[in-house]
Amino acid sequence: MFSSVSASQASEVVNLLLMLLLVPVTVAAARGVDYPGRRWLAVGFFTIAGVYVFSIAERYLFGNPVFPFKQLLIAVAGTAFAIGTWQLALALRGRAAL
Amino acid sequence: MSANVLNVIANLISALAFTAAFVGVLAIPDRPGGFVRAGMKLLFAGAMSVYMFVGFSHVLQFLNVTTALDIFENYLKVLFIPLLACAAYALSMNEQLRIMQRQAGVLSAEHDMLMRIVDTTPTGVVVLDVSGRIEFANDRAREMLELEDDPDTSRILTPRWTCGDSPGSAPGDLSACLTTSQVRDEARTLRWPDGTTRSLSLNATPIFASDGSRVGAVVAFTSADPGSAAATAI
Repeated sequence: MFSSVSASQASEVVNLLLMLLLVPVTVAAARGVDYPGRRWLAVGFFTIAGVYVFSIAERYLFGNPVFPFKQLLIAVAGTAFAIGTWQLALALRGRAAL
Repeated sequence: MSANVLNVIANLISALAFTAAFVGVLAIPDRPGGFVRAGMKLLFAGAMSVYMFVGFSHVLQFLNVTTALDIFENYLKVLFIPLLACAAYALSMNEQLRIMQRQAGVLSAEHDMLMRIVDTTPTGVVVLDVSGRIEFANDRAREMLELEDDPDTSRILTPRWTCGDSPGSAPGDLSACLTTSQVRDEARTLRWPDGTTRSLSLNATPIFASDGSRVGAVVAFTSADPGSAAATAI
C-alpha cells in the first residue's frame, strides 16, 4: 500500500501526528490565559485538527470527493482565526490604552 | 456548482480569512521590552501565513494560473501546528509574566508603604537575624542604638554596646536582652564601653520561616531613660 503513497501523502500523516502530540501542550498553554478571542482561536485550532483527519480520510478512504469539504473546513478555520486574532488585538490595544 | 468553483471560493475565503488573521496578529500592540509578546506575534503570524500561502496557492492552481507554489504547500503545512503550539505557549508565558509584574508592583507599593510607616514611627524598630545580628533598623532605632552602615557592604556595622542585663554577651547582640522569644514591655539596659548606659522598654516577636523554623525576630523599643514617656509609664 505504502509503495504507491507519494511524499505528499506521508506529510498528512506527519501533520496528524504533530497535531496529536502538540494538542495537549497547546490546550494546557491556552488554559493559562484568559484573553478575549480565545474561544475563536480554539475553534480555528480544532477545525484545523479536523482538516488533518479529513486529509487522511481523503488520501486513504474517500478520495477526491472529500477535498472541497476539507477546503471549506480550512475556510471556517481561517475565519475563526481572523475573528479570534482581531478580538485579541483589540482587547490588548484597549488594555494598552489604559 | 461545480467542484472546481467550490474549491476556488473555499480557498479564496480561506486565503482572505488567514490574511485577515495575519494582519490581526500584526495589529496586536507591542509592549515596551515585551520580547515574549513579540515572539508570540512572530510565531502566530508565521502560522497564519502558512494557510494564507496555501489558500492563494490553491486559488492560483484552480484558476490554472500556476502550480509552481504547490511543491511548498506540504512542507509549510507541517510547520503550522508547531508554530501555533509555540505561539500559544508564548501567549501563556506572556500572561504569566504580566500577572507576576502586576503582583510585584503591588508588593513593591505595600513594601514602600510599610517602610514609610516604620520610618515615621517614634518607636525604634529592628529586625534581628537568627544569630541576633541587626539586619534592619529604622531611623529612630539607628539614632537610639547609634548604628552605622558599612560603606562597602551597606550592612549595619556591629555596634559597640552590650546588653547590660546579660554580662558577657557579645557587642551588638540585642537578642541577649531577650529572655524569651515573645517579649512585652520589658525594661533592659544597653551599656557602651565608655560607661554610658541607655534604658529601653523592649517588645519582641519571633519571625518564622514557612517550614516553621525560627529565622529571627522583630524588636521594637522606646527609651526608658529617666524622664522619657516609657519610664514614666513603667
